[in-house]
Amino acid sequence: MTLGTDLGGTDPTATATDPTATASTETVGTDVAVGSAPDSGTGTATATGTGTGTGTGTGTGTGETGDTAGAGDEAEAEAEADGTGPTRRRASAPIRRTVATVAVTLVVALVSAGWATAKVRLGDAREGLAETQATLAAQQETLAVAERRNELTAAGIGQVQADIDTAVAERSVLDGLVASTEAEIAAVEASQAETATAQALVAAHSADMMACFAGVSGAVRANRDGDDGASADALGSAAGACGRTLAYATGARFPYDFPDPFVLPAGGAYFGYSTNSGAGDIQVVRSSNLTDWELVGNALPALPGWAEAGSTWAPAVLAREGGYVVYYTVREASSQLQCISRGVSTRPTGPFLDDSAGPLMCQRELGGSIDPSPFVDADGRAYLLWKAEGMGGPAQTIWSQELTADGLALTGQPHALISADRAFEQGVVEAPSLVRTDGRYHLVYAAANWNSRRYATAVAGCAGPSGPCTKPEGGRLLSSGPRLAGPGGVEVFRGHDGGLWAAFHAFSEPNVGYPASRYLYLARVRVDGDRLVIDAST
Amino acid sequence: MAATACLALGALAVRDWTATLDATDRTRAQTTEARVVLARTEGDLAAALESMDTADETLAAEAAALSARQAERAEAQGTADATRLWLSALQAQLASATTELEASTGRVTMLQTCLAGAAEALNQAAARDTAGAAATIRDIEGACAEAGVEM
Repeated sequence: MTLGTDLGGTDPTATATDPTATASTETVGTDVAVGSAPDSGTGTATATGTGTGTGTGTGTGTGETGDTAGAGDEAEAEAEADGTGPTRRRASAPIRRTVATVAVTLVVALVSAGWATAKVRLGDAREGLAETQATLAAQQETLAVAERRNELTAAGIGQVQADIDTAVAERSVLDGLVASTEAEIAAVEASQAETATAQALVAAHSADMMACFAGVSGAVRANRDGDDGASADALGSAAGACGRTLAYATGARFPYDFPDPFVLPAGGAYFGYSTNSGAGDIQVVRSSNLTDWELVGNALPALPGWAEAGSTWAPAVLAREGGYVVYYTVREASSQLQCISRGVSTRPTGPFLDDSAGPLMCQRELGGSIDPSPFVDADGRAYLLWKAEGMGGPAQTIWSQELTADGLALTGQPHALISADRAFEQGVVEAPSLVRTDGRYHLVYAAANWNSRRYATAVAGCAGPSGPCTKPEGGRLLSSGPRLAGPGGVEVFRGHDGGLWAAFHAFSEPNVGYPASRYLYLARVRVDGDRLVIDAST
Repeated sequence: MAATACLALGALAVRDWTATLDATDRTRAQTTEARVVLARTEGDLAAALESMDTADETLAAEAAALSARQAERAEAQGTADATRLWLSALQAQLASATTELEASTGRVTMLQTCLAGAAEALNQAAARDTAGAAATIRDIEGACAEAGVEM
């Protein structure tokens, strides 16, 4: 900014042009352009300034630089702008003074106004800055608070999640505890059930037990009196009760002689058949739960004409459309050999009618045939298995042959499945029972002398109902134990619950050997890998 | 003299004016800068507040989940306690039943020993071996007495 001043005389009328004159303007408050003409001529000088603004200033020519106005003197300004044609103007001193004063005043006023305005604006700016800074500080404080709260919240979330993990872990532990406890409860309840069963068994037969002891006591007293006859009579009267007591003590399901049992599930019930004994040629018992059995009676009231009474053994029943077929062993009168016959009935309890003119199967050249057992394969075809006696001839052998659809005749050819060739079998294989589980065929059979503690139950694996069959190493399933002797005559059947069961007979220790009774026992059957297991405690 | 004074005064005024203008410029620049920082701070604050809302929601959800898990845990604890209690009761019952059964079984075992002899005597009697049956009875008399059977 160039501020030109002429504090000396002024000739407003003087004009001069100074091409070198410069003027600058600045817009501060009011725009003021002051031109200077350092070397001006006379007259009015018009200065043209360049700067950020443009302005036209009223210059005052100075006639003589440095000629300051003298007080009271009439200044004479003489300006020679270019030295050619000078114009001289004279003005009166008061006027010039006044003009100067006004100009100065004006300048001062303008400067003051601009200065004041600048001050005001500076104040405003500072106030705005302070306000902004205050707002900023407040916001920053709020931000800090928010961030701190976020940190705390995040920490809280972490803590809550940790608590959740803890609660979940504890719950898992508790669930495991509950599961293990429930397993314990189940085991305890199973034990309770077994205990209750045992207690019920003991309690249910206390009457027999007391009757037995009463008879024995009577016998002892008679013996003391030297009355052997009375002693024997007392024992005889207690024989039934004592037998039942002994049988139930070993877990027998039916406390009477019931050898070579066969169980048929039919009509929601179970029907048991056995070798001839006190109830007839084919004894029949019935149960709804496999635990409690009641005697039905004799299922075969009459034998066919070619048969001889007194040796009807090992019956087995096959359900066919419209009725039931019983297969049983009976003595052929003409040959005195045991052969297999069959009878029919519309009810599982019989009576079965055998109208045959001769045996269904009798391998006379092999010493006869006994122990028939039917088997129905997955395709519905039925087979009959039996044992060739082999007395005095070839080794005892178990055979099978397909049955006709009605079950009354055999069809096709017989197939030899297994023969007695193991030491423990002692030359005897008999009482076959074939069962199929998961595509595997298991041939359960009895071995050794039936009338001894050596009698046992074994198993062989078969490719099908017609064989071939293979005996595994150590294939015995049941052997004599401290309570039961000679467990055999096994027949495997499927219960109404879908599970496999084994019905078998055994002597009850210490009464082993005929005429002691062979009682009916039942046990669960399961498959362990490819092996059949009978869960029986002998 | 006056002119000089005025000139000096004017120079001072101009210098002050200039300084004022410079200060104003600086102040405005600072204000602008502060406003930039303020804007950024406000952005950060908005983000922080949004995060806070989210965190609050998360916290509320987690707290609800915790409450649920703790309720489940408490329920499991209750179930476990009840189950253990039930097990204890059953074990007590079983112990009692087992004791009772053992007593019964023990008696049955003793009675079976007695009965074994009786059975033999029965077989002998059935075979008309009266003397043998009597001898057998004499043999088992002690065992039967031990079993608690009054002969």
